[in-house]
Amino acid sequence: MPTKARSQLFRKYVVYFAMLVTTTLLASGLSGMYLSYKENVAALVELQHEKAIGTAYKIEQYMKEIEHEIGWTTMPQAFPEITVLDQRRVDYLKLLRQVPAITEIGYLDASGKEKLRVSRLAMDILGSDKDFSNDPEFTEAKTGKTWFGPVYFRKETEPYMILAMGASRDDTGVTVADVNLKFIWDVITQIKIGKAGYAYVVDAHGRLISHPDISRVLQQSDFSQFSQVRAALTNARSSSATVQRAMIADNADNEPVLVATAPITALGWAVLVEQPRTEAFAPLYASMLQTGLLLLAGLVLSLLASLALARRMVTPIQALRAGAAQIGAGILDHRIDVRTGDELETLAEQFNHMAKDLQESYSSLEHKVEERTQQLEIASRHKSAFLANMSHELRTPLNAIIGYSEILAEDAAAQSNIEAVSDLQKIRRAGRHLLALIDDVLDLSKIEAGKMQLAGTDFELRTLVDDTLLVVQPLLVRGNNRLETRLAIDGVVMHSDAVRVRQVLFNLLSNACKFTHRGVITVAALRDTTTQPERVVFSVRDTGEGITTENLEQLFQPFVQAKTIGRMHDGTGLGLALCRRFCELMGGEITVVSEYGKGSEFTFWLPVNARHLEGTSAS
Amino acid sequence: MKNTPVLTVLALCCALIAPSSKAEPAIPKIGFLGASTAEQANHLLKAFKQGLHERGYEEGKNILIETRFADGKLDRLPALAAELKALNVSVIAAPPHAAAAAAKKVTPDTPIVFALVGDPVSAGFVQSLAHPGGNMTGLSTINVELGAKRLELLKEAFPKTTRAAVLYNPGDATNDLQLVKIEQAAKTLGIQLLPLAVTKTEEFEPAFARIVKEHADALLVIENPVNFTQRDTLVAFATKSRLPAMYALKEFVDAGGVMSYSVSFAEQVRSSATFVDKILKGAKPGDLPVEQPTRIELILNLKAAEAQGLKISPSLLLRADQVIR
Repeated sequence: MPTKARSQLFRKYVVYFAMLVTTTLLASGLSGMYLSYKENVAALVELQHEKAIGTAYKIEQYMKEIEHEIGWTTMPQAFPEITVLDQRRVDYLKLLRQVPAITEIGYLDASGKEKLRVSRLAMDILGSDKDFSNDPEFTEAKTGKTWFGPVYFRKETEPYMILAMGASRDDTGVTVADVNLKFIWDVITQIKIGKAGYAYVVDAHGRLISHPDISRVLQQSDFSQFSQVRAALTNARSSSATVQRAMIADNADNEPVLVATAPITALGWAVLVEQPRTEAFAPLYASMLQTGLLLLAGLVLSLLASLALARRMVTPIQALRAGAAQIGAGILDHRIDVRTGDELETLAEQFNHMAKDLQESYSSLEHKVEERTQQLEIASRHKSAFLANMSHELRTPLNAIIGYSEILAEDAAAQSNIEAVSDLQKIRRAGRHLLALIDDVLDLSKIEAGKMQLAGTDFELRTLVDDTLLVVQPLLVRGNNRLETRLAIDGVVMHSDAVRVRQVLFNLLSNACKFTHRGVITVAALRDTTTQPERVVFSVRDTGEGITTENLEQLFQPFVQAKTIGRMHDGTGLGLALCRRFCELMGGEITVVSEYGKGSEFTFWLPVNARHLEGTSAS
Repeated sequence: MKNTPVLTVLALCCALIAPSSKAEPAIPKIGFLGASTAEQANHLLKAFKQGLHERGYEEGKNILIETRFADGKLDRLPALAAELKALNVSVIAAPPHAAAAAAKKVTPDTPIVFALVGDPVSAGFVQSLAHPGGNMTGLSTINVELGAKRLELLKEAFPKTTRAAVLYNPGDATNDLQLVKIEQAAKTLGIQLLPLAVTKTEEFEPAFARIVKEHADALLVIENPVNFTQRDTLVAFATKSRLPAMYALKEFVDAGGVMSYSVSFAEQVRSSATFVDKILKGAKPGDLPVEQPTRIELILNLKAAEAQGLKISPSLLLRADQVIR
């Protein structure tokens, strides 16, 4: 199946090329995608982390700013004590105006007693002398550090923190400020993290201090159970550099978010920056999608290229194959047209060259065959002519020999020279045999030389058969054979060559007599009207020796006599060959069926009317 | 039948579009209930709409606002609140205490957002600030707490003050609570207090007459819808009488008053839009903590004070967040 072979080769090439190209492309594309994914994730995480750090820094700065502002009021005053308190109140009033986050601010003297309290909400208190000497805001601040108190919630909602600062000298007191942490909201809402991202702040216990959704803060939300918050606080506590930069976790609304954290070390707080994972990774997914689409486009292109390349490679091979098939089928003037400029074109040229050579040698061979055939024909004609002439030339002296031997035999008989009669009859018999042989040779050569003409006449077939049987009678008697006839040919008038019909029938009968002893010879003839043209079928069956299978094959060849029988029988060996030639000449056919040892049956049929064959000659 | 796939796709598209266009959510409708006149509360309504705008709402486009004003006649509030409930609004924004109280009476389940309530816990609006629990939430003005501070500031501005008149509305729960605080402060400050109950406009004239008669040397005006509606009358009386006055709202200073110490009502009402937004997005009012104000502003109108020949002590100037000269 050439198409199948072609498609197989084509498919093979396509698969090879496509596999090669797609493997390379996929390997490079996927590894590129993987690397860019890693890089992008790292960049996103880094960005998120930077934002967290930035937010933490801003909040720290915000708190530092408050601390700094309060710091101004703790400077030592160069006034007497009573005036100092007045002056301090003025400072505090200024501070309240300056720093909205401070709701209340008070002053504890060196012994820890409250001397002054200025508030935005409550009435100012002067000299309450409330003792804070054992409270941390006093004890811690006395050491000279700024004390950031724990986060507490005023009226159970508002996150507050106490910030206490001592002064530079031991004999001065401590300033204690209540800072409203809701103001950090102003800081964190300015942090923009994508569209849906947000930052929030938790204290050291994981309680929410600031969140863009202020309600969550006012609810005193405890975020300590969130894994990201725990991680953030762990990071805040440990100062090691190997902090987890970002993680994926579920936020308070159970949505997956990319979280980055940063500690506010001074306060022990942590900032968490969260962005919905889908949004955070959206650019990443977009770039992955883009890369993926490009890769896909590349794959499609490479597949198309593979198809084109495979087609390019298969088409000339297909042309070669088709061309070779044409040349193989004998169309030698076919030329293969392949112009690829490579080995395939060379191959095609070689094919063409071979075809050309073949064509040339074929034509010279044909020429020689023709020439030789002509020579043979001429030779054959010469041979036949020679034979015809030769037969004639032989017959004349032979007839003389026969004639004179008969005369001599009659004379010898008259003289009762029995011995001589016998010898002379031998001479005459040999002569007649020779004559018959020559006649046969002559007939055969005539037929082969194409000079045998049918002499068509109308004749009564029954008469012809009866005459022939009469002639054969002595031969039957000689072999002690019995003749049976089955003739259904009464009134059949044939138009054919009567002599030849008789000759064939006689030949078959005489052969039957020759090879049968004390047997039965059956002659049958019938007219078959079922065929077109109408024919007469003869058969001669004997119960004689029969013919071996190997002899049957060459039975109708000239000069062949059954070898097994050897030369113990008379005959020229031309009889059956002539029978066949005659039958064919008259438009009929002869066949034989025989079983060695049981007998033979020769059958021949002839057209009743062979008029159309007259004037033709067989070759 | 070449067109069959095309038709099928078209039919599918129609089938997909049709329900989605039907399913488009109806524009939410909210109510706004004011106690004063529409004109006097205009700046508050504007602030409220501004707040909604900041949350992405455009009136008429993705939100409908039904407004009702009682024109200072508090007895009309329940009917107006009932009207809003009948309109099946998703949220009732009732900024003033009186409006919120009226709305609360009318509906136990429609979310109510208040903005100008002095003490929502005492008023019984919410169970606690952190966890309101019911159908109300919003912003507190902490005015009850600030009453004492106002008297202190009045005394600081005018240290000679000895007898201060207080205009309040005894029907208003916040006012009563505030008056208690003010009375405590008066004792501390050594001021004799003259509380004057004004429940309706007609009662102003007798009150003014008493102030003059009793020789009050200062005036403290507690915020309530009656006072708010009649702020021009009040300021005019104080100016005429050259009476140092401390008002509970900036709006009085805008009307020519000398000083006020309070949260910004406009700011509060604007912030309340955040609550409306959260509720429209599915939050339960009971879960939204009440917000406390972070900025309480002392506003001094030196121009008005000078015009009246009043001298404000310099220490108060230190505290002033805004000074009108």
